[in-house]
Amino acid sequence: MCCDEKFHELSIGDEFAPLIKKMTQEKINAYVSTAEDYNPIHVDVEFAKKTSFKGTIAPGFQCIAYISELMAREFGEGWYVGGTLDLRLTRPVRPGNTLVTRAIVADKKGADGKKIVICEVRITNQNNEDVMLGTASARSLG
Amino acid sequence: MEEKQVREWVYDDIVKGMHLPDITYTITSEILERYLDGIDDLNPLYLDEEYARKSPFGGRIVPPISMAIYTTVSNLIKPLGMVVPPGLVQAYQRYEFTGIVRPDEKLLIKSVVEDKYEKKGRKFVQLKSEVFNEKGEKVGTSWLTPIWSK
Repeated sequence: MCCDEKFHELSIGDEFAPLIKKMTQEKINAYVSTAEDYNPIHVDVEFAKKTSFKGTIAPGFQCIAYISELMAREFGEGWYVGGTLDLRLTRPVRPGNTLVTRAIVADKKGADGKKIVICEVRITNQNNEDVMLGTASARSLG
Repeated sequence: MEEKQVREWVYDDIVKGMHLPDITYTITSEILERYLDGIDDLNPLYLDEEYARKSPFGGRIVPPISMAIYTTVSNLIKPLGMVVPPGLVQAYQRYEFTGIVRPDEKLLIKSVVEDKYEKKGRKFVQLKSEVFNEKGEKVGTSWLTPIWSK
């Protein structure tokens, strides 16, 4: 379904199927290896134990990708070209955390002849604590 | 070999309006595979050339949010020979995706300090990074607003 059709079918308050992921140290290592941006808090278990986090944490940007994945699944081209994300990181993500990414339609509007769907997005951990909060929008291509 | 001197980029070093050195990067197919492994995303649009060829994109693309790998503060200031002070906290981030990116495409990041301000005793810096493809088309923009520790 194209984003334009979807725009008409969606109602404010509609919730998309959540995305569930398990964070592991292996996934953190894979992500960090692409970044050329070494920070021991993500990958060095012994170092991380001695910090206030008491263990490794995932890069915040790694989890942002889950929201992008959900929006891409729902809006396709309208996300890849025309998507926006506004986010706050509220809690660290640790290896072993199970993360649930959700998006709820918060608004629909038109601008410059394009139709935009705005979603409230949120990632929670297995204790139902927010780790990331914000909004994401996708636009129709019509 | 002479060791490159690095120092911390502290709040007082930062000037509103200052441009950071341009950075280029390429998401090769090999980097893309590791990235997708890290984010646990098996979308065939990124991985399967035949599937992607039949899509509206006519070939494989990379996840738009992959720009976040390269627009981190520490990566942006690396060419200055500087590092972020310990304790830097990401407060807010915004991304806009305006064009598709394909594997092995060479991309250019142009960054500027859009704002710096103190609020409730905290030091905020807003960095804007625009990402361009080889045709000079803007494919994405990121705004990071970390809280500086010193």
